[in-house]
Amino acid sequence: MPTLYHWEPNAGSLEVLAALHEKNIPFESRYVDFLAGEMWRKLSSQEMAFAAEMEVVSNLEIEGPVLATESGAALTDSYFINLYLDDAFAQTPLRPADAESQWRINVWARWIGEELYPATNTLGCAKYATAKLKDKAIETLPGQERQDAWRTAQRGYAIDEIAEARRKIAVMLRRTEDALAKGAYLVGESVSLADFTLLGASLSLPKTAPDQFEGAPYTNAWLARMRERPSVQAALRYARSNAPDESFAPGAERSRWG
Amino acid sequence: MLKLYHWEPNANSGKPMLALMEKGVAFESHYLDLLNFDQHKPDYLAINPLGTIPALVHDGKVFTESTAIMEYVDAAFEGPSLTPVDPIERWRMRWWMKWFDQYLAKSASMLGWSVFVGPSVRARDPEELKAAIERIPMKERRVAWSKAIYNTFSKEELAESTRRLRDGIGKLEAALGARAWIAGATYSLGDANGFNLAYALPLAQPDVCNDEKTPAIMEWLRKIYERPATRKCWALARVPRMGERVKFLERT
Ligand SMILES: N[C@@H](CCC(=O)N[C@@H](CS)C(=O)NCC(=O)O)C(=O)O
Repeated sequence: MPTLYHWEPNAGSLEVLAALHEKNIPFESRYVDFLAGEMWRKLSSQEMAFAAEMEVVSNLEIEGPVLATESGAALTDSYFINLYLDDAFAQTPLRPADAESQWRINVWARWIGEELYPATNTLGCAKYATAKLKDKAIETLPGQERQDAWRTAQRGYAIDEIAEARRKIAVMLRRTEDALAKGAYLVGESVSLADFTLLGASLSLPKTAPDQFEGAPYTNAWLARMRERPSVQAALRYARSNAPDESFAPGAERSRWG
Repeated sequence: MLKLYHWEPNANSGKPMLALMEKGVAFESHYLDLLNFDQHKPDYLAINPLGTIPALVHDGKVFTESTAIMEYVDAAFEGPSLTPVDPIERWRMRWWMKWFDQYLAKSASMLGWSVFVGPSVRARDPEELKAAIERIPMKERRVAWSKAIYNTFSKEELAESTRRLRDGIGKLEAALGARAWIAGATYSLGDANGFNLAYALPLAQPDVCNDEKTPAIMEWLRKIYERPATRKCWALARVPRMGERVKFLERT
């Protein structure tokens, strides 16, 4: 049985937890407090032998879930973990079989991963995490990029960084509105991995960008539908706080170039 | 009917070119001169309104995003599979393609634009350049072009890109020291993706990327360079400096 190391069901943790439940894959859940730097404290106590691996330390998501497979591999990057689950567990496929739909899902994941996740993480960290980031936790983190991401979130965000995050959210909401005006899900007739990726990146938007989110009626209706799915309800039950959508730890940086 | 809109056979353009060559899929090549701003002209904007290259047109449908195009090409056409069978190797292939695209390539590209793309166009008529920048649809690309043209990169961002490149070389060497190919036992899209960027590492950072310090990277680059598909791909280079500079990978 695979083991998922995850935090509160928001962002990448939600994305993978919901897919596991949607596909009905038995797994062991290990709750890790990302914001306290627990993933990395456990690393130094040897509890997670895999945590020193390149794909874990240098995961561009920065703080995100880790799936330990039965064969001993440690997988990171929420969307790629989900693709792995879809490849390795045949039941309830979360991608249509045709190449064009798969391309569409990949493009959504790329846009969301490169633009929306960093933007919602900026707004979320600014509102809920900045004040909680402790030097002591930061000093023990592995990898320059991870340290930099935490320091950036700790010092807080300049007005133009917040404005740029909001601009990216506006661009993405235009795209989701276009797609969801035409159909109930992002790609094809039924729910797909694209929807779970968007779910992770957008669960917090009603709180972090309420004005922008209100102006996106199709995406609103889609989020309400997603939240009603039994798999998403099951994923949200891993929460230990009463507001998982306020749980943010430093995440993917916004693109430095192009 | 298959058409590929591309620039030189490296970076983002080279990714679908090399995938198509490896699959043995014939395509109509539409070369766009990036340095002449062909990608922002109305004819091309009608195909890809974002004004970026590459774009693939298959049976009238437009496909963008170079890495996603590679996966599309592999799934949609006959020919040797460029995706591992093992789900964990597939995961590793995707993980590394993202790391190449969003970590290493961003830094390499920023440096490349500061030393090559910018200087290649800077001497042109300032009014013409100003108008060219204004025509660019995406804000991110407008910022990139204006930094390249007016050379307004900050010292810090160039230093950070150099740091990432040098640090990334060490990480790539470790990965290739552990496995024959980036995803595992077989050549995959991940290797084709990585080559498009990594061929330039020994040229850009010769003191840290060379036969002595990074033998695994050098051997991997040479193995990819000698594949017939890679040869065919690089035969489409038009900028003399581009076609020439990959030749150092020739085994002596
Ligand atoms: N994420 C896109 C990026 C495409 C992109 O930015 N391409 C560059 C060339 S490598 C481009 O079109 N630059 C021309 C411009 O910005 O005018 C992809 O992978 O295809």
